[in-house]
Amino acid sequence: MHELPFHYNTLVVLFGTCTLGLSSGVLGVFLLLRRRSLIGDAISHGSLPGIALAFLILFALGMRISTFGLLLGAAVTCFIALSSLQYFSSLKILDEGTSIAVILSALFGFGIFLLTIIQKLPTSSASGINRFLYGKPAAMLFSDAIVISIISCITLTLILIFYRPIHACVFDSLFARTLGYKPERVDILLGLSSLLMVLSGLQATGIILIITFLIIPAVSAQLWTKQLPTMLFLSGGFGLCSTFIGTMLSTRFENAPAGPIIVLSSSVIFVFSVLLGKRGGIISTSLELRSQKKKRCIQQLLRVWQTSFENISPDEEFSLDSLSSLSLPHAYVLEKTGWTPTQLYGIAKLLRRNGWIEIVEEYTLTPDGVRAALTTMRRHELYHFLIRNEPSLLHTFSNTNNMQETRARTQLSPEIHSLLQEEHPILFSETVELLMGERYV
Amino acid sequence: MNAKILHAHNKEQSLRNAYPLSVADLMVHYGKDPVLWDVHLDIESGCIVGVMGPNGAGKSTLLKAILDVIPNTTGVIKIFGKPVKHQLHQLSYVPQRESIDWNYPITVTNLVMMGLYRKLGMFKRVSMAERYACIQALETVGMSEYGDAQIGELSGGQQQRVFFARSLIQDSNIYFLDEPFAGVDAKTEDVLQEVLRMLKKRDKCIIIIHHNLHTAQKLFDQIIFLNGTVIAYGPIQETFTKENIRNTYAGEPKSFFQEF
Repeated sequence: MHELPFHYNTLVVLFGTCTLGLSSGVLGVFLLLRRRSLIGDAISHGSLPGIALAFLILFALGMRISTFGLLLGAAVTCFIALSSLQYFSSLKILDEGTSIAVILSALFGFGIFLLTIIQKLPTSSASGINRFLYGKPAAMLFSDAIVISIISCITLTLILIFYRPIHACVFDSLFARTLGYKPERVDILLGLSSLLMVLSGLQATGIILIITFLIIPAVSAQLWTKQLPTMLFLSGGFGLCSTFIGTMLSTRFENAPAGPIIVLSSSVIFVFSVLLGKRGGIISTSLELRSQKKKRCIQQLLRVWQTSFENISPDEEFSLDSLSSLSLPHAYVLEKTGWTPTQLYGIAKLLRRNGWIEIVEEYTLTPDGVRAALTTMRRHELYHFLIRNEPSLLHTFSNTNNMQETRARTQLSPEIHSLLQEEHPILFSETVELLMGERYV
Repeated sequence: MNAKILHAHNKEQSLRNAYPLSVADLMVHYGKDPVLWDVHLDIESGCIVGVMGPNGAGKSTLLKAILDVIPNTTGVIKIFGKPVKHQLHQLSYVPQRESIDWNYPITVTNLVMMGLYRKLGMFKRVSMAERYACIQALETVGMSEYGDAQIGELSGGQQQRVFFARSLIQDSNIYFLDEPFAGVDAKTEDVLQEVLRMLKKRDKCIIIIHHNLHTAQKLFDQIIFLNGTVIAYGPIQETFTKENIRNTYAGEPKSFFQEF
C-alpha cells in the first residue's frame, strides 16, 4: 500500500482552515466596506482574558484543560468586547476607531496580567496557552477541525442568504431602511459572524494575527474589481489560498509557525495586488497614465503641423492638400514640441506605425495623418466655438467617445447650427464630416 | 352588527383620506438638547415640498426621524394613516452625496437594481423585464450609456442622477431627497426637475431638503421653514415671505446673509 502524501488527520485540518480562510475572506469584504475591519481586532484581543480566566477556573476546579473550555471562556469575553463596542458607538461619544482601541487594549492588558499569574502556577500545561497567542494548526485535533469547518460553512451560508440585505445596508443604510431592511440587524449579524470566525481561527493563527484573515484578502480583492460579487469571490479565494499554503507548510515542517506563514502568504498576495491590481494598482495606474500621455503627445505632434501652417500662410484655411505638402525638419519639430530626441523618436515611431506620417529625412503627413491632424484641430476649434456659444454641450462633447460626438452634433440647436455654418463654414462642414469618422486615437 | 360594519367603514374611510405623511408632536433629542420640537406636519400627495432652514436647524434630523433611525424620538409619525414602523417601504430616499462611499465596488446598473430588492426578495433572480426597467430608469435620467461604470467614475451631477434612477425604480409613494441640487451641473438640474414633475403627475409626495433660497420658488409647491420647530408651512406663494425667511434664519443671521 503506498503512502498518502499527507496524513488523513492533516487533510482534515487543512480542510478546516481552508474553509475558515474562505468564509472569513468573504466576511472581511463586508467589514471593510462597512469600515469596521478592526472590529475583528477588538474581538480577538478580547479573547485572551477569557482564555486565561477559563484556564484558571478549570485549574482551580482540578479539571482537564480542554480546548473547548478555553474557547468557551474566549467566547464570553469576545462577546463582551463586541457588545461594549456596539454600545460605545451607539453613544456617539467616541468614534469607532477610538472605542476599538480602548476596548482592545483594556481587555488585552487584563489578559496579559492573567497570563503572568498562570505562568507562575505549578503546572506544565500552561504552555498550551501559547498556541492561542501565535497559532499552531498542527496541534488541532480532528474534532476541532470539524467544528471549525462547520462554523465557517454556517457563516458563509448566512452571508450568502442575506446577501441583498447586507449589501444594501452596508452601502447605504438609510436607503436600506426604505427597502424594509434593518441595518442594526445586519450589523449584529456581521459582528456575530466575525466573533465566530475569530474564535475558530484562534488555533490557526493566534490572537495577534487573526485580523489578517478579515482584512488582507478583502483589501487585496478591492484592488482588482469594481463589482461586489467578483470582490467576494476573489477575497474568499485569496483567504483560501493563504490558509492552504500556511497550513501545509506548518504541518509539513514541525517547527514552522502557521500563523506567520498564513499572514506572509496573504501579504504576498496583497503586494501583488498593489502592484498589478486593475483598480488603483500601481503598475496599471502608471500604464494608464502612460497611454494617456501618449495620446496627448500624438495630438501635440499633430498640432505642430497646424501652427507651422498658420505661420507660413496665415490667411489660408487648412485643406487636405496644403497639409500633406508640408514637410517638417527634425530640428524644427524638436524645437516646437520641446521634447528630447528620444521622446520624439518614440512618438514618431508610433505615428508611423499608425500610418500617419512618413519619415524621409523630414516628417511628412500621409493622407490618413492629415485626417487625424485635421480632426485634432477641428476638435479644438469646435471646443472653443462651443465654449463661447453653447457651453452646456461641452459636457457631452468632452468625451472622446464617437457616439457622444454624434450626439453633441445632433443636439446643436438650430440657431447654433446656422451660426456655426455662417461663421465657420469650413469648420462646420469638416466638423460634421471628420467627427463622424473613425476614432483615431 | 351594524355598528361593527359602520365602524369598519369609518376606519376604511379615514385610512383612504389619510395624508401620505403626517407628523404630530415630533420631538428629537441628541444628548440633553432638543434638536426638533413640536413638529406638526400633514403633507399632501401630488406636491413638492421644500424643507428649508439654516445649518443645524434639524432638516436632516427630521428626515432621519421619519425614517425611524433616531432612538430618542417621541411623537407620532404616520404614513397613509398607519404607523411608520411597518410602512417604511412606502418611502424612497436619495442620500446626500457626502454620505456615500464612492469607492464602493458597485456599477451604475447594479446600484439602480438595488431599488428592486424589495420586489425581488432574498433570492429571486433579476428577470429580463426588470433589467429593462433599470435601463429605462437610467434612460429617464440620461445615464443609460454609463451602465457599466463604477459609481466613483462619474461626475457629481451624474452620480445624483443615478441615485434618482434608483429611487424611480423603487416606485414608492413618498420621496425624500437630501439636498439633491447641491453642487450639480445645469443639465442635471434640468433632468432632476423633469423627474420631479413626472413624479408629481403620478400623485407622489416629494419632500426635498434644500439650501438655496433663490431657486425655492421655482422648485416647490409648498414649503416648510424649519429651525428647531416649524416656523411656517404652507403653499409657497403665501409662505415664502420676507418675514418668514427672517424668522427662520434669525438664529444665524450670518449664514443668512451669506446665502444672498
